[in-house]
Amino acid sequence: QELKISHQFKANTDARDKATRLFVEEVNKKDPGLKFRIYPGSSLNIKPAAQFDALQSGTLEMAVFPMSYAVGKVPEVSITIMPGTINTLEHAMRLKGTPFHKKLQEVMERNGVHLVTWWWTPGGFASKDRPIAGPDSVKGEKMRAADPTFETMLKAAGASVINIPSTEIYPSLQSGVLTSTLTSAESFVTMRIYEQTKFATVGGDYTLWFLLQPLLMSKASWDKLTPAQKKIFEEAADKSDAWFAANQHEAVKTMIDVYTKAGAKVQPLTKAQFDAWIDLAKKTSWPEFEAKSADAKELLKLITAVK
Amino acid sequence: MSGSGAARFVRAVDRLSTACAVVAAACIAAATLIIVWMVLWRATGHSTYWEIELATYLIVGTVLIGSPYCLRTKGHIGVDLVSQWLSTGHRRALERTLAVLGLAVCTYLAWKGLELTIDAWHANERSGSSWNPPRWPFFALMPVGLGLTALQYVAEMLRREDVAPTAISGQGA
Amino acid sequence: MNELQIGLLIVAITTIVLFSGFPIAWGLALVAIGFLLVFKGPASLAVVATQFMDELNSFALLTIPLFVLLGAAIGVSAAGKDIYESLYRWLARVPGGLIIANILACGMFSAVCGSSPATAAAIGKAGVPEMIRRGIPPALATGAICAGGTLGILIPPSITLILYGIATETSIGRLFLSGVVPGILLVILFSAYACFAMFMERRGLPRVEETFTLKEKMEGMFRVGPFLVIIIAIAYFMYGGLATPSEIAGVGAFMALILVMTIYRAWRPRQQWLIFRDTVRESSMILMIIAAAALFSYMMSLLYVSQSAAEWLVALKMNRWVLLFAINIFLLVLGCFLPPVAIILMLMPILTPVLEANGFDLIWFAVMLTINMEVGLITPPVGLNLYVLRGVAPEVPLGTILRGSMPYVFIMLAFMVVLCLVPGIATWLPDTLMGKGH
Ligand code: NA
Ligand code: NA
Repeated sequence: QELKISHQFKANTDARDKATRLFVEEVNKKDPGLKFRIYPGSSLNIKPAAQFDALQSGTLEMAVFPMSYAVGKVPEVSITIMPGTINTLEHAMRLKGTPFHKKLQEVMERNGVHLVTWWWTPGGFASKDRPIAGPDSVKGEKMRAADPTFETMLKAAGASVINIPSTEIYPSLQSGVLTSTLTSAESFVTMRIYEQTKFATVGGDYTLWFLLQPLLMSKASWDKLTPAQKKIFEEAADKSDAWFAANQHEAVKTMIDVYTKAGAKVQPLTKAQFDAWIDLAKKTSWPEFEAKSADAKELLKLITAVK
Repeated sequence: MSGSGAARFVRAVDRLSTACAVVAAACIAAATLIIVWMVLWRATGHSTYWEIELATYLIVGTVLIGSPYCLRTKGHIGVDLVSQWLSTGHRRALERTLAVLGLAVCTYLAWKGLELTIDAWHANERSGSSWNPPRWPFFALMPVGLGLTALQYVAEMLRREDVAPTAISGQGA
Repeated sequence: MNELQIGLLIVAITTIVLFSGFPIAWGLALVAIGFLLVFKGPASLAVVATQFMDELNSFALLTIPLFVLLGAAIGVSAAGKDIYESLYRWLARVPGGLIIANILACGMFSAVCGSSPATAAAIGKAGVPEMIRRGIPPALATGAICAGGTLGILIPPSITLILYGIATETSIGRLFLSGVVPGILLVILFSAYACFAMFMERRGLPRVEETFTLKEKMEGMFRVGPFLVIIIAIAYFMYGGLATPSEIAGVGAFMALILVMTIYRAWRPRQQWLIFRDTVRESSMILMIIAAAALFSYMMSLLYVSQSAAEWLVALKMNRWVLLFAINIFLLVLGCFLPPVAIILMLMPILTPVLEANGFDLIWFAVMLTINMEVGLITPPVGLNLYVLRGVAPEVPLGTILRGSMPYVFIMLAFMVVLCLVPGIATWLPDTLMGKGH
């Protein structure tokens, strides 16, 4: 039995692909009998969001999956991109093994998938015409966000939120349909968004949001593993998690370098700007998320309990 | 023209397919208006969120709901390299076989689409955007469109020479 | 059975099924479902419906019906006749003048449309019937648009270059620029061939040339005016930052409908029905093939057939030019069965590192790959542009369309050789405008 791993990222350069290969290597060190086949760059011809359906049905065994893509099926996943809940990579890693992690795992397993790794990517803003700082700075910007609760906050801050597919981000920035966008530090570089934007907001001690993009496994496939194999998976996951977090520090540095070299202005959020965003999030995104379900309410309570 | 049950059935299905084409046409007309409206609305500095999604669903509607009409007017194109080498009898047999296969494929896809629709209904699945409509009406286009195409296939098999298709002249393949 | 043997079996069975006269869409679905069932078991069929609907649920893809609508509005109303009448007055003396006008129209339309079948549909709907009415042989008329339409993915914007940029992490801006010069050169080469072909066709025949006075010619100019307005408005909406490349399709269709309703007074339900009826029919045919091709691509990928073949090819450790030649042949074979998007997604993860290791420029290769994919849009059994032309000109047999398109395939293949000898054709413009090094 071969385990297929699908994802949308470039092979051998993107951290999410490299971490996947590290995970496979670690598992095979202890159990060479388990065969994996990685399909990078959407080469399995399953679209990124549809990987979730394939995992649920058991057709696909594993995938690296940006959690927010599943928000239509599992509204609670908005917590994995919720603004103002995590402010550093260390903070994100401290969440592993906490009641928050356990609750999230419970919700996901109820929906047919199992969280294997704990890969968080730091997010940022980039803009064509002005530096994005506090909430007042996005007024009138034409922005694209990836998640409905995040969009609520941006709209409240006065931005025009536009719904376009991710493949059209680059040409839309080029023509001006879009004036700013948010995504993970690494994607700003790999999608070459720096060619079309002049201002970036990233790094520092106050990152407004993180996105969980872990290796997921079909619950059906996970249940077929023996207890010994499950343990091997968890140990390999620990190794990949540590590598991934260290790599994401590098990704932020790379993004700053690339933007600086391209002659753009790069800045982190200040404490005051960050606090202003959190105040806004507490009035907009957070209550909207809590209203989704009892699980959502508990997840938000659990994530904010970890300092 | 015979008034037999089969002939009446064929005519009824033909009319249904034409009605579907009218619905499909209305869908793409509506999608066009929505897109133009959205571009202008956005140009005046407003947020847009449901427009592209709804236009997408409407055009998928055009494609799937329009499928039975496409079949009736022989619009689903095939590459025929074989039949010119066959005798009339064998050509008939090939045509029958292909019609049965076409019916089977459409029925199977309609069945899979129905399963998907029912699953999405039960799971209360939504699109996940800020508009966030339920997913099942979108998925339902598949069983409806391909189911009606399967029905049209049945009509094509029952169609006798004397029940000439009410199709547009000169559009046959 | 190993993966390569399965691959050969797929090629054989697909060819038989698709050449039997079975509709392409159902044929692709049937082969995909059959192979999944036999080699991967019933469980692999769980996502068939999701894959089918997910493929259609893409706004970029759904620009095809909108561009078909644009073409139908102009083609079904008297507007199409008018444009070609006025072009004819100017071009009557040039051999193949009308064909050249159509090729130029394809080139210009490619600058606002990112999809090849959409370009062929929009221009072909009005162009083919008018060319045939004016005595141009059907093979030449359909072949020119079948080939000219393929430029949609080479001249920016381009759906496939966007996906290539994402798959290889190269700059989409740079890729777009790299397609401009090759696109213009192909327009010139296609036109030159059309001129030559018509010259040969008319050789020895009595000259039945009509001549037009300058007054008649100028009168014709005014009739083309509204269409120039549409093209300029579309370009303004796109390059002025008002609409994305996909949204342009909706804006263009709307303007064409308004035009034929006002100037050509085709506002009666009966006239509108003719436009929309054809739009529904052709959109359904093309998009059903694309959705079924998604199932087929998923089957190919799950069985790891094209990937194994590519890996096997790469492992032969050939000289870099032999390798490039082998890759191109392989892509041409795949292009017979798969649409461009699926090929790029499946193969670029395997080919990118090999191309980089052999010192090939990824921007240059993108142009090479795109022209290769353009050939695939013309080659049966799965050649989308052939079927688009079959849809817009139902009276012309597929064999005639294919015969008319083949010379253009050879022009494109020859152009790929030239591109190897003079890589600057692709890289000069982006290097000049964006600086060297990427
Ligand atoms: Na184009
Ligand atoms: Na082909």
